[in-house]
Amino acid sequence: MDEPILRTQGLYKFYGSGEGRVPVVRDVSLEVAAGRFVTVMGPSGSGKSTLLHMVSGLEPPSSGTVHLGGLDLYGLSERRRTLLRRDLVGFVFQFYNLIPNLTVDENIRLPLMIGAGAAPVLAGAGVAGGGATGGGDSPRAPLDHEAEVARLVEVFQLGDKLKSYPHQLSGGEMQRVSVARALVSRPAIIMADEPTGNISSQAGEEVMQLFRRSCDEMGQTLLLVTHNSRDALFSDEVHFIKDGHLHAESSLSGAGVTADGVADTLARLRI
Amino acid sequence: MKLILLLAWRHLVFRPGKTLLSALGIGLGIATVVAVLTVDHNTLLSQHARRSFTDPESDLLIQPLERNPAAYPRQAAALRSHDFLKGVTAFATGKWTVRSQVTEDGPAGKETTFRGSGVDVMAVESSAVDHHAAYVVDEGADLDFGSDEPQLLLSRWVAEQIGVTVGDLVELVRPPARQRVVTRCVDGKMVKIVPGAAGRRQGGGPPTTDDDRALLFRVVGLLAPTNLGFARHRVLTTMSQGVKLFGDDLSVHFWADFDMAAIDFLGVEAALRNSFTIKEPKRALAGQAPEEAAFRSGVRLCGFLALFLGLYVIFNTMSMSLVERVRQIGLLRALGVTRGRLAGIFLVEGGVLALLGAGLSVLLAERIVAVMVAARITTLGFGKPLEIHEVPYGPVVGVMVAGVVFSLLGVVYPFLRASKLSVIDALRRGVIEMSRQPFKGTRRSVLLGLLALVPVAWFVGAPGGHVVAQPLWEAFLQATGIVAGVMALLLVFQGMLPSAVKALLSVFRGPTITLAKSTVSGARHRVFATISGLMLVFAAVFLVVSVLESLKSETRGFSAAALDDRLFVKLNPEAAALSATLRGSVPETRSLLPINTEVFTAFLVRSVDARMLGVGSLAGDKDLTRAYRERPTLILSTRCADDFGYVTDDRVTLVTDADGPVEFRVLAVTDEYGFAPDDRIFAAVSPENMRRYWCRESNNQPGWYVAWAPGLADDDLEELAARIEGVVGAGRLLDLRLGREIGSEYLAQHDRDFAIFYAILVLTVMLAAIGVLNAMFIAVMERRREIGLLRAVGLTGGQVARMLLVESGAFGVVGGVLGLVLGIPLAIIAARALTALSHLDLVFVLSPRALGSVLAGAILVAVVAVLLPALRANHMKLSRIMRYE
Repeated sequence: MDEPILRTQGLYKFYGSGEGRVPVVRDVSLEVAAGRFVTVMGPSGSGKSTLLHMVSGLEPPSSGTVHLGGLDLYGLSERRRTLLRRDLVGFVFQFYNLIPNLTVDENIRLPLMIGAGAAPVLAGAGVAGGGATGGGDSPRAPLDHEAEVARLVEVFQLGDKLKSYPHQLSGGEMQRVSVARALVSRPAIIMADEPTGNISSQAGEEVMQLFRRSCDEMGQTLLLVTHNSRDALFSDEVHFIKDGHLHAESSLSGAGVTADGVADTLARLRI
Repeated sequence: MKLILLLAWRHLVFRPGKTLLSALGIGLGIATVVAVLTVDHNTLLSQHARRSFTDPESDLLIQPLERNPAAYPRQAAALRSHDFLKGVTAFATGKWTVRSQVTEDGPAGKETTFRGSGVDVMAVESSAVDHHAAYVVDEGADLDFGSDEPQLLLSRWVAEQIGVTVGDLVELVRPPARQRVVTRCVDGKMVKIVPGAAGRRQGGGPPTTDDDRALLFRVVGLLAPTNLGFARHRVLTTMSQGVKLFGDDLSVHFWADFDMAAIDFLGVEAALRNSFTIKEPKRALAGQAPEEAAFRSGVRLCGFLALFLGLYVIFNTMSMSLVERVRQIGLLRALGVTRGRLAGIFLVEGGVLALLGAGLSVLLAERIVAVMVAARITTLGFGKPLEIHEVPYGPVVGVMVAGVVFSLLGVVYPFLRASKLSVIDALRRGVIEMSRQPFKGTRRSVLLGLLALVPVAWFVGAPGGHVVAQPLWEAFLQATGIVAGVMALLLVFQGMLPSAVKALLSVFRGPTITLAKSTVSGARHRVFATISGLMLVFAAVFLVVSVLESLKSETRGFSAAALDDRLFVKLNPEAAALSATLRGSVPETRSLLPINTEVFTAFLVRSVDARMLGVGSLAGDKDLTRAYRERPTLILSTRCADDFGYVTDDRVTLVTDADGPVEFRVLAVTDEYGFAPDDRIFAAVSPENMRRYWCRESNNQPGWYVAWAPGLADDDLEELAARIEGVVGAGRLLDLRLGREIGSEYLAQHDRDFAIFYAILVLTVMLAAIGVLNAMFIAVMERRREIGLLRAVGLTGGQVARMLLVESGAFGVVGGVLGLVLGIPLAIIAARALTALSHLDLVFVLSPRALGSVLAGAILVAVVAVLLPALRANHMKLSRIMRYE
């Protein structure tokens, strides 16, 4: 296994306090190697989104550690954690989260604008993949932003929607914009939270194929959380989470990631 | 930077209506104060322009009670010893004749004598120019005040009359004795007195011989025709020459300014009254009389109140606008936008809005000022002269900067909240909840800061013993304390406002009511901002309406004492000569008595017949009536006594024509005797005393007369006027008015004077409306998914609109009631402060008009302001709402 880009150790997350304290994530230890497509599957309320938020630096764990790009994520200041997200992470949300008063073109370019002119402040992060700001130690030449935008627009078939605003798009189109936005800066790791939850199955499959190509062709890492077993079939590894606990012993990888394998595991774990 | 500019710009242009409303709110708030400051500044300039064209620019004209030429240096030193007096400048005047002298280069032996009634020679000190701009030298040089050489400045007219120019020598010649005979009041009789014949009184005897010499002066310059030079007969010299010139006839007066920040006019009068009298203070103190100062202070305070309220509304609008952007902020933070850059977005947006508002304020202020000028609404009341001479750029720029800064604060606060936001909460919920712990975070700082303002301001900024500032200062601090206290209560008990709204809504039934109630619970911030804004604005409305009602109540009290059951008759000289006949011929004028003879000392002294004391509160007091008639006594009007600080039995020194300063005893303080339209500040003396000390006769003089005429109605006046003219002759009755009618005019005048307050209030209420409008727009935005869902399951657009109307109407009711709760103590404080400032006996009056206008106004504003958002909600496209994110 390659050097992990993401590693968690003994992650816990509780909500509430005192007797009302509810564990949402319990003792999760996970390693994601650079360039791999990893899926965390679980039912609604299993803690998978919370886990994703914790590993992306959006929500601090109650205990445990997260190492992203070799850096202790919650050992960093809030500002450096923000910059780490800027340099290394691309997000795809279930509800798209597009900026309503920016056009499609501007929404796609948003990460490029956020990183424009900024030097990578986390040069120590040992990561693979691209990066709008040249973050990480990518062996590739600096990214040609315009070419990348053009490529994504073509791939996502958004050429005639570039001047449109989000409210003029369908759900599938909005999610394609959201994915394009996540990919445009070639972040080292893309974190996707139920990206196909609000779009048609055909659009969902297109999105997952794009993720797959990003891993294969761009060397990007993908961490996907979903309850959709079809999405999981595109990944290299599948981990199962139930009641906040990651069942490592049931994880699937490589050739084991099949429809039957996933279905069997879900049935066995009563997910 | 590109990102910051793009996001800020797009947010501003994406909803142009909201941007324009916010900028309009800022602009209106600033424009209100700018307009008030500009109108106030120019009201005073217009007043000063009226008075200062022919006068020196001085606040006070002071006359020593002791008329002794030798006392001049001592009197000047005494005045200069007062710190509050500035630019004390002595001057003396006399009538002389001037004639040209043969100059060294001129034709030998030729003389030109100025013929006429003589010239006005005025001797002045150097500070006349330095401090009072008393004259301007048009040609030649100024007087050399350090030189012993006799020098003169002549008006151009005098120079032309006697054919001299700069550098020539002229002679000042004392007029011949027959021309110098002066008429003086002595023991109630006007007698002619020849100067030089000390102590000799002549009742029309032959004049003394001419014993005078000519004094030689050099003309050093010619006066420009302005200020003292405006008088054609003017000749100026130095005070040192004046002392020699006038000799025993020297009668010195003083010009002086006073430090208005340290003391008011009445304070000056009180400090000087033992040795000096202040002449014609009305002319010298445009806008500085106590009631005028109080009115102006009120107007300016009201203007600043408008700015404060406007900015509060803007602050809340900006703060609330955060709600609709929470998810966007969460996304930007997730994507790696640091707090600094987020701050940049907010600051650029706020800066653009504030600058846009400031720009709009210039246009709005210009319009407001134009309307006020057209309507003759000044800061000294209605109908006063008002021309816009200049803009007070210093204060105006200060207000604009303050407005811009405060608007930016309205941006910084949301940013502070946004920066502390959990990214996940922002992304998931898309709303910011009002903290349930009011003493945490920014709100704690704001709250504590507001509460701390009162004691800190008291200890740091309390003015020391100034008669004017102290009541205002106290009122300001008390008002701040009360406002801070009420706001703190609302913040501590956050559930109070939503609960009050829900309780109000519980009276009604129906699905829209249920929905309105449910949304109120979930929008504490919006409820707080909207209701507190309405509360503050309508507390201000209540305050102004209550003060007006208090003022009217005071006027009604005055009317009852001085005007009711009285008939005021104004006669021309021919009619006045027939006043006795009139009394015998027209029954309604049987008790007609003159109130037309007046002299002006520090205040107006009017001759009032002792027979008038036969009615009213002093009726039957024979000792008092005798004292009034026979001894130097007077009766003061309440305003006069309050203003000058006299009570019954005090001694008042008045400068009389007969005996110089004489002590008059105050017999009573009442408005019942001697009021004549329109001055309420006066003293009544008996005709006997008027004759004895000022040699003025009352009987058969033209002007106002008053008669006791109970039961007379307005409808009777026309017929009565015909009967009076039948006796005195057509056209000789100049005016005929019932006291009650005059009282009504006073009340109407109060309404007109308060037009400026109403103008400011209308602007403030508009600001409140903009605030509510913005809040409800945000409410619609915030709830668009919910509204979409409700529409999807069958709620009609009308029902959605009704839900918003009901909700906003409830905000109006609660805001109005709280406005009353806050407004009542504020009105009591204002009435007390104005009593102290203006010496009006103002008492807080809880008038139904004030109560009604506040409640109705608050509801109306809330309902009207929600119409547009309701219309928007009604026309929302379902498909767009449900997909929109």
